[in-house]
Amino acid sequence: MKLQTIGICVGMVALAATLNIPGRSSATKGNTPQPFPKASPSTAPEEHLPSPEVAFEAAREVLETHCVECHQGTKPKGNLLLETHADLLKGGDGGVAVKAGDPTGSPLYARTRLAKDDEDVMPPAKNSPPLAPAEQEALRQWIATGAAWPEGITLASRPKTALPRWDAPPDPEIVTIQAYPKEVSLETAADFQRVIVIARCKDAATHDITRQVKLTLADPSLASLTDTTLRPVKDGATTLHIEYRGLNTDISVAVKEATKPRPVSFQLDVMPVLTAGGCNTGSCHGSARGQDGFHLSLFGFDPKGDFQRLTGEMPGRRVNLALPEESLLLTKAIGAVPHTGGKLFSKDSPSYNTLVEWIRNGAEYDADGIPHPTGIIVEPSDMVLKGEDVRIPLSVRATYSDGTDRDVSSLSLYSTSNDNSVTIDRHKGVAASKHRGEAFILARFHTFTEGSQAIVVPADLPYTRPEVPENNYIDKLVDEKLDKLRIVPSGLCSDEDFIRRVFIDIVGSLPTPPERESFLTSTDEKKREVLVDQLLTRKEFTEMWVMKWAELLQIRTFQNGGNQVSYKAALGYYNWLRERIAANMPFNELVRQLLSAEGGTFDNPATNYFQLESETLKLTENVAQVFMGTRIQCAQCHNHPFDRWTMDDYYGFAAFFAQVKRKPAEDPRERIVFDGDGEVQHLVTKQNVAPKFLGGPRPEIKGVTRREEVAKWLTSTENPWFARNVSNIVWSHFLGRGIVEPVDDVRISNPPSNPALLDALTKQFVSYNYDFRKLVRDICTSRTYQRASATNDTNVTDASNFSHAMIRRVRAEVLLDSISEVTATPNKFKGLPLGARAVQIADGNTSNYFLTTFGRASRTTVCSCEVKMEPNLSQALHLLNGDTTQKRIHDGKIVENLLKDKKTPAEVIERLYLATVGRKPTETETSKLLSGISPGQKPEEIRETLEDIFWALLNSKEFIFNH
Amino acid sequence: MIRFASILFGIVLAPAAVKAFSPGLDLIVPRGGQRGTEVAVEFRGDRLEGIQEALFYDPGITLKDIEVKDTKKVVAKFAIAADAPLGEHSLRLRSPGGLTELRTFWVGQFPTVAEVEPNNSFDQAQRVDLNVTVAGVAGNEDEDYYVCSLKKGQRLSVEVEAMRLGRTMFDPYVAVLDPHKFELAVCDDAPLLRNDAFVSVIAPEDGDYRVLVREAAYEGNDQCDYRLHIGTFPRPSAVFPPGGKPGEAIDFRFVGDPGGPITQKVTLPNEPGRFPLYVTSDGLTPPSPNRVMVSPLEHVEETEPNNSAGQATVMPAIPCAGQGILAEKGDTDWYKFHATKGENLTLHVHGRDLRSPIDSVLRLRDPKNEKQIGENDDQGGPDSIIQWSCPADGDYYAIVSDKLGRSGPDFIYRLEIVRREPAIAAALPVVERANSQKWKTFAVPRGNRYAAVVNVTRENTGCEIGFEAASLPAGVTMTSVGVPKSTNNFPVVFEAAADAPVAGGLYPFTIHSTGDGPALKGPLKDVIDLVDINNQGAYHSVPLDRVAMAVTEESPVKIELEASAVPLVRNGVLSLKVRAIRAEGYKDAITLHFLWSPPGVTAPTTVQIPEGQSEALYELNANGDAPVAEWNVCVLAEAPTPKGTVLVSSTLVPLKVAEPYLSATLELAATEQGKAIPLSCKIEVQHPFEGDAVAELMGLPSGVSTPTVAFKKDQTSIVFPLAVAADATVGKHGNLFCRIKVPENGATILHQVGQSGTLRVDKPSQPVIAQASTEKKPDAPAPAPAAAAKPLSRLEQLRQHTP
Repeated sequence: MKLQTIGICVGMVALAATLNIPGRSSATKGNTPQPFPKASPSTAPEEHLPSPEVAFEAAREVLETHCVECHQGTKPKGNLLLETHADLLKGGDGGVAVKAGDPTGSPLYARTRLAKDDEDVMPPAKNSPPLAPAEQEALRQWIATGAAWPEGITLASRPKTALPRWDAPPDPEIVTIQAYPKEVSLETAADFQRVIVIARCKDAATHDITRQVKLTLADPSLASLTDTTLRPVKDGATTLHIEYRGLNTDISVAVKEATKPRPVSFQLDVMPVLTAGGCNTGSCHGSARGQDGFHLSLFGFDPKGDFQRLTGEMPGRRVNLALPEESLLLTKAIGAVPHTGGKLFSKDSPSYNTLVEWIRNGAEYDADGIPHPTGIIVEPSDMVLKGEDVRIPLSVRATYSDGTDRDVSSLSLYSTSNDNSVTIDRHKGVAASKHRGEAFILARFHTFTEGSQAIVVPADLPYTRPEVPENNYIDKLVDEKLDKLRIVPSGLCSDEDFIRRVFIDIVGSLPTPPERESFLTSTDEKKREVLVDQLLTRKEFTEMWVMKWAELLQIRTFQNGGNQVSYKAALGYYNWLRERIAANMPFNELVRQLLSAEGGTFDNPATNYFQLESETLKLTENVAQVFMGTRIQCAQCHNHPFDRWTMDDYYGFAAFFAQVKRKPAEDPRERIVFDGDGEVQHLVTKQNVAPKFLGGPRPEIKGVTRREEVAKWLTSTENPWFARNVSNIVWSHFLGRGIVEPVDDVRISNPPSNPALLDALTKQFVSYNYDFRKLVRDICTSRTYQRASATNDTNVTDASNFSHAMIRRVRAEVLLDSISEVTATPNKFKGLPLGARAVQIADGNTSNYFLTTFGRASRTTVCSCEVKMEPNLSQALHLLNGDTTQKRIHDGKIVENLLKDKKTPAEVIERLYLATVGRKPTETETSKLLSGISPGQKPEEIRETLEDIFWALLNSKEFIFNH
Repeated sequence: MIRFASILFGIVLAPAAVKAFSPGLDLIVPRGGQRGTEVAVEFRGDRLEGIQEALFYDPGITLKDIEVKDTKKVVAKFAIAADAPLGEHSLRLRSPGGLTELRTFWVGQFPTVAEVEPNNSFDQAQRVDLNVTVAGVAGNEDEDYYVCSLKKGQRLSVEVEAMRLGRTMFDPYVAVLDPHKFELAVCDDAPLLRNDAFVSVIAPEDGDYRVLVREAAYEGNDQCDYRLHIGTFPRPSAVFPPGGKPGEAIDFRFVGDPGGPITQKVTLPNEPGRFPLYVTSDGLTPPSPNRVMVSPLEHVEETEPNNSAGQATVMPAIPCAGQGILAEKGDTDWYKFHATKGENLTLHVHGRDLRSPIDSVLRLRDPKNEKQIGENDDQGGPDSIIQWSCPADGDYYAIVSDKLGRSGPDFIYRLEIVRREPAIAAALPVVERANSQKWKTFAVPRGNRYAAVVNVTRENTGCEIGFEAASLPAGVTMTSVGVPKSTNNFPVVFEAAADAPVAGGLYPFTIHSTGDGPALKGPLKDVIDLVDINNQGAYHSVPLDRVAMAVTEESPVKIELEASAVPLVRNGVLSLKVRAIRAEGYKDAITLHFLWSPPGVTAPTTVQIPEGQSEALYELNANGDAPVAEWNVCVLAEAPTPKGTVLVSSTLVPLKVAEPYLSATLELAATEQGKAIPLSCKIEVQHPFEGDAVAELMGLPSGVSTPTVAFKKDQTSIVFPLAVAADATVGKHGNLFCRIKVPENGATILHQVGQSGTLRVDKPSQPVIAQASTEKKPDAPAPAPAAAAKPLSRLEQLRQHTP
């Protein structure tokens, strides 16, 4: 890339105030002053004026704070640019802006002094208030002293929230300063690297101080420093010293091949310009049919094809080798000829220069074996922005296969997941805070997307971190995140709530009144832990997780031509899973067995996994989605636009499953799954693709099947996806929301709400040898799980940071089992004895109206969205009018039997409350309910009234929801 | 002759509704019994009132004391000989009205005890003695527990007959649980028994052991009968070697029994085939045998190690067999054999067909260029077959392995390498989906006929075939004409004399080659699929080498198929007349089946003779490629009576397929709505005829009509005057053709010729002007077209219209 020509990303570069530039005496005591360019003599010799350099600094602050915002970039107001000295000299539509030595004759100053309602006043009245007198004076003095502009200084708009300069007194709130990148490596003459510096405060707030720090190169002969951008001068190694208000940090600088030129490469330079310009997006030329007759591959997944279309279609037109500047590619991009996409960059911009030079060099495709990008690093990786309009620049570095790296900040595209909290300039990569909340800032370069976590908190929030006890590592990490968000978590839920919650979550049933009683009366301090431990040993816990995994493994009967999963096979598959979970087989081992399974679908039921999906590509996608939690479907046709997956990744991963074969067994219902020959072909190249781990290396496979190899990789303790994904799924079950949500959509643009927490859970899970019982124990004994669902002012809107318990509808199977339990009416399902629980149903296709209405997974896809937890009208109507409640209350004869046992109506009501909602009725409730019953009524009427109460309880939100 | 027959019938056909035809047998209860005992049995079915005997396909059981309870129930006794073979005994019942379906009865060595519910849990197990057979039922979601006491070291073997009982789809599962509720052994499916299961364990301690039986997926029902053998009998899963020569005495090693391998010397029978071997231990044998191949091939047993070319086991001269075991994981067994150029060989691994667990893969290698020259995994089943023509004299390798690399002491196989010899065989076709019992017996009413179709298969030969019966029931004659090379099936008609005794039996049939070429003989074999679900394939079948035949009482109807005086021409249609001669009072509608159609000839599947009527026409169509030949055809009639359906057939009558007598070409014609037009048709007569042929134009669009046109053999063209209505369908109508009835022998031969004739009907070219002109000059007579002396072709018409 012709990086030296790409120029400076103006939003973050004007750092001259802190540079060790000779002549800036106020900032650099002790340095030898150097004369500024000669200025015209002062108009008021009697006036005591500051030195030109001091005047510039003062004026600069005014300009950067109030003016540059509008007078920069490709479309400056009044065509006046104020970024460089040359811009200033050039002037705008109204002619020269500054006449050195003549403030009143300089519109730049004069227009600031116009009346507030004058339409020519600067800054425009609608944007901001007029300049303060002191600010006007600073401009006047600067012009009066000759409007000096030290060489190499570029102005950039400065937020009003910017911190003071490096020589201000130390601020005890600032704990540390961090520079990015930590190490700078400059290779070849064209290389450059911009350094950004962030200050971190005690309350975790981050501030950009890049423009305010003092930079000193230990050996200034090795590299040049323009603002904070380092460029190579000669080979060697040195350090860059950074100083800010008493805080220091160093970064190492290495320079190699400082004088070696680097020719423009199509793939490494031209393609990034096209991508950065947005040429190949889906809404422009990257759409499936191109745009206005010109087609590029989406986000550049097919460089060779793009090269062909640029140079081979309409020869001499898009690329004109004779007159490079006349190439349509360029004239369109700079808006010199009509272009639907408008002007993308200006003439002589670095992007423009890259393209011109490529064409001038013959518009060739790259030779084989050029280095390719291997990844990008986005820094800083997290930020806390306190107050509005706090700005933080991002640095993006690409690493290459030859070990080099490049600063691609200006060639990256930026986006934000929540522009209500954090906005970001699409091309410049400066994040700016807006409203309180969280956002994930994404940078995309080449096929890589990486992100940075940003939190915005109000500047003047009355907040002190509450003293909350921590039960285990989970609480520590959750509370740390909450502290960053200035959220005070809810308190602990009551014992009454806890026992109901933990019963529903762990064993999928309601506590019986005696179980509840004994828990409530226990005085054991650790009784919650004890209860969790007890529940974990119950077989219902196993059944609950067999059901959950059965959903993901899609255990169901199935018939599609020759491919079938008979009921016997589905049952065998279910039992296979159940036996393993019951025997506490490490989950990675279970999945390893599953993915490498071969043999008959009766003989080795795990092979049914390959019967349920026989298309190689879909199978591949399922494995990625279920076991890695990531959706790679997009990459079947083009590189994934919101994630890291490329078509090479996709087909490389699919190659592991290309050799799964199936044949009939002797029993017509059975099939035999085995490994034979088979390859997948890349959609673009039509070549066979060798197996490559998703996001991992290309293995050499010897003596094992491809499936065995991928199963081993996926389930190894080093795998970054598997344990993380399982931990997240487990977490999601108990907290009602994944740390990554949805759990099967892990992608860079959908980051975990608490990465440290997910990391910790993953680490624990691996250290527990993939025993998710232990993970469940950690979760259920954490204070985070035990929080009340009631919210406070600070956490009422929090839905993703676990500051309070989520109110969750009880899932279909558990709800039906609960109704069955409290009404004493057993269920009958296929293959299960009378009274069996819906949780135990083996076949995804066995259902009933209730289960279907309440969103039982039919297991036809692997999507986590199969289980529907959202309440809807038909659910409410079914409970109100359907036979699930009415008939069961009648058939179960609970009320009748209680009355037979000579219980009073009040006692019956209490029993019903305890059985359904796990609490006694309040006095108000009791008295209101009893008012419907009078002693004079017939027993039949009393029974009916009590049954109505029972019906009402089954229809209450308190019963249907876990809270 | 026909007239004579009808007169005869008038006398013989007795009034209907007395006799019961087509008796049906649904079930034999109990499903089995102990040998050497008499077992009271009950036959359940329909129209069983006249049951006279049972026809057993296997020796050892006799039926006695038949007592008809009602039409649906007959009780009797089976006397089971002490030496009756163990296992499945197939039988049909015979009444004067016919033969029942085939059902089975199972002979065991142990006394039978009945299941007593409730026995649905470990603690509720039904106590049984050792060495008994429990007759039980696995209901829906039912688990049946049995308990017996064992001493430490005692063998407990359990084998269940369930799917094999052939009553319904019933896939059983068995388990043995120790006194502490732990599973000692479980079995769902065993290759040895297919869907049925067995387990065999040595008791690790004294105590009560439970045997659990259920449907594998808890999907049982009231029909899921089982016979569960519980005892101390040996139960090896395999035997080695898997074959030997007729009469050879071999030390067979039975493997898979928990007590270890058992070796016993057995002398093989003289008949080739699959031979059941029963190991004996402590006077007990397993309930079902292990099977070996009896074959005259020279055989060699593998000598390990033979996992590479250098170590290959050398086979005797072809034809030969190699026998081995894939004992170690990933084992591959190499065999070297010599073949000479041009030899057509079949390499066949017999594994699963001897009920070995092996899923064989057979590979063939040429050692000279170290190339693989053939590979086969499955060939219609798990066993591998390679058909191969040897390209050059030399040594070759045959390599046997398991598809999934599995192994074990019972992964036994026999690799046969034989020259491909011509062979013929016959079978009875399955005429109804998922019902292999239909039309599988030959029941011939006295003084009447029955017809059947026989399929033949030819391997490595294209010979003509003749069909023969070694013997037939008294008074029955068989008519069968030779099977030409071009067909793979043929009809055969049996006729019983009016005085043939009502009786029955099992009769073998054979086919033999006729004409040139080597003399070949083959048997008629039949397979009854007792459990066959949704056409997926049979779960349990019974192979048969004889056909049950019977002479039954008179049918109330007799069928005559009238031979046609004229041939059926290619692309032509011929209607054959079928007459029913009904007994007095018999009026029911009769369904006719054209049992067998010659190649290129199609006929409707069925034709009805309506109630009370006695005639129907069976219309045959010949396609353009139907071979010109003379065939023999017949119809089979299904005549319902209040007591069952009776099947009777016509005699075989000749049917001649001939070239058409003439051909025709329709000219193109184009006209406008409301404008008549002549359509000419060129006629070319290949086979002169006498009298007038009548041509009818078919396929005309709505609104266009024409009369039929008669012509003589010398005419070369005819003209159809088409009348075109004003609202005739506009468009190009390209499906016109001629139906021409050519007279011969007082009948007509229907030809369909002149296909793809085209008539274009347009809208009137200038309707408005035409209308205007009529208004202006209403009286101006249009010049009458010159009397069409010669109809103009389309081209000529166009020329006329062009100025």
